[in-house]
Parts: sequence; C-alpha cells; structure tokens
Amino acid sequence: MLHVNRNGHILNARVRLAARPLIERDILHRIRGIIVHQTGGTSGSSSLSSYTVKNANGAHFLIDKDGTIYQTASLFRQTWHVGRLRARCIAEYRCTPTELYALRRFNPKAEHRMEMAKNVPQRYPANEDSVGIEIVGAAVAGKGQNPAEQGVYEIVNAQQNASLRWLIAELTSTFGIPMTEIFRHPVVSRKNPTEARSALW
Amino acid sequence: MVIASLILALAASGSPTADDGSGTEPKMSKTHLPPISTITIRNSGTTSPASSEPANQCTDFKLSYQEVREYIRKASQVTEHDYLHLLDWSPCHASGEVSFNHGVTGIWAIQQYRAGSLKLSDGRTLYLYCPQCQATAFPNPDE
Repeated sequence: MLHVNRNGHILNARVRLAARPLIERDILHRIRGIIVHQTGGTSGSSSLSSYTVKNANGAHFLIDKDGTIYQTASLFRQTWHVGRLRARCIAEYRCTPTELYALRRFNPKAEHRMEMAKNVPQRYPANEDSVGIEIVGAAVAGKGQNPAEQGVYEIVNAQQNASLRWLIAELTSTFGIPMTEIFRHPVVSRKNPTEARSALW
Repeated sequence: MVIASLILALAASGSPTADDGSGTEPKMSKTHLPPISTITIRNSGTTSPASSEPANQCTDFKLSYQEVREYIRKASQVTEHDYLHLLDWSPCHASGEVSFNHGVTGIWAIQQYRAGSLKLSDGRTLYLYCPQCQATAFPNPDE
C-alpha cells in the first residue's frame, strides 16, 4: 500500500520524485486503469528534459534503464499519454450490431468519440481515468531507416521489469485497480505493436 | 486599433495548432520549410518490420508525386513524444527523398494515417502530421 501525499506524490524509497508540472492536465478523479508505454528515446534524462518545455506531454511515471522509478506527474492530475482509443468490443468479440454498424467505416476520431461515451471496462482506460508508465526504450531501425516508421522497440530489461512489476502491484492495491485493466499502449490505441511488448507485470 | 486586434486574432486562429483539449490531438506548429525543388519516391506500399501482419498487407498503399509534394508542403510539425504517443500509427508507409530550394535535402516517410517524418541533411528530424491532407490511399479525413 502506497503512501500518497497531498500533492499526489508517492512517499516511498523506491520512487524518486522528478515533478514535471508542465505535463499535468485536468484533475484525475478516479484511476480505473494503467497504460504501459516505451518512450522511443534512448535515455531517461532525454525524456525528463523533454517534459520541461511548454505544451509537453508525458506520463505519470518513468522507469529508467537501471530500473529507477521517477514520478513525473501527480496522481491527482491527468497526463496525455494515450491517444485515440480503439473499440474494446472488437478485441473482446462483444460488439452489438449497432456498434458494428457504427464501426464499419474507418474513422479513428469517431471511434474514439464512441468509446468515450462508455465507462471502463466497457472501453479501455483513457487519459481521463488512467495512469501512464513510461519505460525508457528506443525504437531501433536498420541503417538508413527511420525509427518512426520502421523501428522495433528494444527489449525491456530485467531491472525495468522488476520495477514495473513492483509499481503496478502497489498502484493496483492502493487504488483498487483490477489487474484486467492494465494494458500495453498498442492494445488500447493504434501504435507500433512492438511498444512495451516485452514489458512484464 | 480594434481592427488590428481582430486581424491579429484571425491570424493566430489560422495557425496550425489543433489540440482540441481532448488530449488526443497533438499541438502542431509550422515547419517553415522552403519550397520543394524535387521529390523522389523510393519505396511504396512498404510494411513496417514492427507489424505482426503479413509483409504484403500494405501493397495497396501508394502515393503519387503530387500527393507527396502536397503532404510535405501542408504538414505541420509535432513533437516526437506526440508523434509516438498521440498519433495513430500505421504499418503502411511510403518513403523517398526530397530536396528544397535552399539546398537542404531530406528523407521523407509518410504513413497511411497521415503521420510522417522528415530527416533533413542539416541533422534535424521533423515529425509531421497532416490531418487535412488528401491522397487516394489515405482513409477519409476525420469528421
């Protein structure tokens, strides 16, 4: 069970505070899920410094290569880390005929809008009700290729996975989040499918 | 004075900003790229190695020279984080080279869902997004 102070920061020796208020958005009223990401960059310091500019976006936690857990945003505030939601009913084979009809045309914006009219677990957790965990890891591409299009995310190492496992166990028990509501980013949004593929919890 | 303020307000609203407050649209800014002199298409209908789908799933994704030119001309710049986290990723992309009037060259790549990137010879990498761009192989624009 975590001790969270009045600012939404965890008081625990395993979590280092690296507050980046510029990535904090509206109030996070209730945490219903956790989304696991990889940064796309090679170092924790580059991610931490990218969170210090105006309009920066990030997630609540950053797990560095050596397993160090940084808390970068308050657990009482939203961060914008998810993107548009995929329709959860498709992945779980439970769409109604009406939903299937609405989804017949590819339109990610309309699909997201339709999802946001539902609640978790009818939809995936979104920015407004999830905590984001970033794991430092680059998308690596071949010579002459651009990582943005052709990159494959590097493997999450053992120290990072140990920290991720601990953090998720603590967050789920503290906030009553079901383990069924923890997702890799490409599950909930259209993302490079190798992002966080090797993350374990 | 009022007219001047109105003009300024209209000019500001016409700049590429997006960010509709939902947290799913990236903040966009102008690329300030000079006019394009030449475009080369090296690869079309390419499937990303990250895709778990068959390698031929993207064979229909092809862009014309005009569509690439229009994309690079109209696209806005987004941050790397927003490119990776907020924009929809597609396994299908095309890529090639571009040169600009002032001598800088670059390698462009455009994904099917309108995200793209541009690696410039001056060392910069621009992450691009063009929600209003049209191409036969793009899905219909968002409503």
